Amino acid sequence: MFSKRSLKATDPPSSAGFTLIEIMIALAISGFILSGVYSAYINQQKSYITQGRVAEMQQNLRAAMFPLVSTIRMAGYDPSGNVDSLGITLAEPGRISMQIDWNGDGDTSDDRELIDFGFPVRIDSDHDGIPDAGGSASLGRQYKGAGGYHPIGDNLESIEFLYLDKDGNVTAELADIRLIQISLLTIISKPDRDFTNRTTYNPASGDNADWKRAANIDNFRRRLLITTVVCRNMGL
Amino acid sequence: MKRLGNEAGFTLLEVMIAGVILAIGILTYAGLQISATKGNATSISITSKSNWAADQVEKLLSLSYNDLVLLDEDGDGTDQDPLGIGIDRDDNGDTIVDDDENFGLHHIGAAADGTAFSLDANQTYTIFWNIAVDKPLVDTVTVHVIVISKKQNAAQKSVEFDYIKAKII
Repeated sequence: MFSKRSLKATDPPSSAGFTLIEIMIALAISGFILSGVYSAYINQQKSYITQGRVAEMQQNLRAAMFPLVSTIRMAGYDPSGNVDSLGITLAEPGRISMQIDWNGDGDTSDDRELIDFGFPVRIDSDHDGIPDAGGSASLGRQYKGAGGYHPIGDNLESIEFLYLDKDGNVTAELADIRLIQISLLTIISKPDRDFTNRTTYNPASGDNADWKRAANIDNFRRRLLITTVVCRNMGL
Repeated sequence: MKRLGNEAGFTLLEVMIAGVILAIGILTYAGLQISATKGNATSISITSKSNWAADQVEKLLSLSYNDLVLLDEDGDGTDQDPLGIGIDRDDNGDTIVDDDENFGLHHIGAAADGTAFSLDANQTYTIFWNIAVDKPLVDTVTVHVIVISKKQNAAQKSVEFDYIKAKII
């Protein structure tokens, strides 16, 4: 393929060029390399996007849990002893209302002293901790029983508050509540077709038919967090 | 006229070797994504474990001092300092400041003072706790909670919380 004729200083530059075979081989090789590089790029891009969403989902979960735990722990705080209060005034699986006398002035009419947690009422009107229309919603916090729920954690699929008395038994009596178990289930913002979720997620109360829909095999990643809060200020 | 450089080109073998080297380079880069994925998995594992540890600490610290002392079921952390001198906490006659090991604070498995499992459907995490009385001071109890995941080797990536409760006199 390569000319073996002797070159003289006066010769013009070689103009033999490449044969068709040479070009086809070169194209095929570079084609293989490029397709390899491209598929590696695509895979990494997918993984990058997915892992970004996973990190976001996990942050949502932690961000939602923190204010719930730190606020519920203070429910019924009444240093003056003058508040005619049960501490917790509404105890539903998907909604909790409480009174905290932060400044100890004997009433709960100041800022942030009446607190509700849950999905906004228009999204979860039966207070079961699952959006009425399915899907996911933002967990919200509302002050003074009005003004709407401000989001504290996005993309939550199910929430549950489980109310226990001093012996650890489930109770419906507001005055007997001593421990609250909080269960939060987050869902990733977009499905991932390369991933199949077969996990069953149950809240602290155990098997729950409404949470079962989360066990339907689909392509969404989820994360579950359950924790117990002792309401130190209840029943003093 | 001068020739414009060497036009011999590359042999097929040279190109293939170059291609292999390039492929190895790209595969190494894929390792970065794997480590990012692992990082996210580790992160949720630590979040969950510290969550379960906090859950257990809440339950234990809501007990009274005397109930907590009774929870030191294997007794390895109880009555270690009857003289109340605070240095030789196990009162074995030496003057060495006793560490966590003397009190069995790092026990897991059957040796731990208590065991529980996480409430999720798969019981992914195992929670152990150990109680040491008169540590770090007389009339205090140290509660040490250790959370490990079922799949892992016990020594790996456990989350451990220490809490101290004082006797109210």
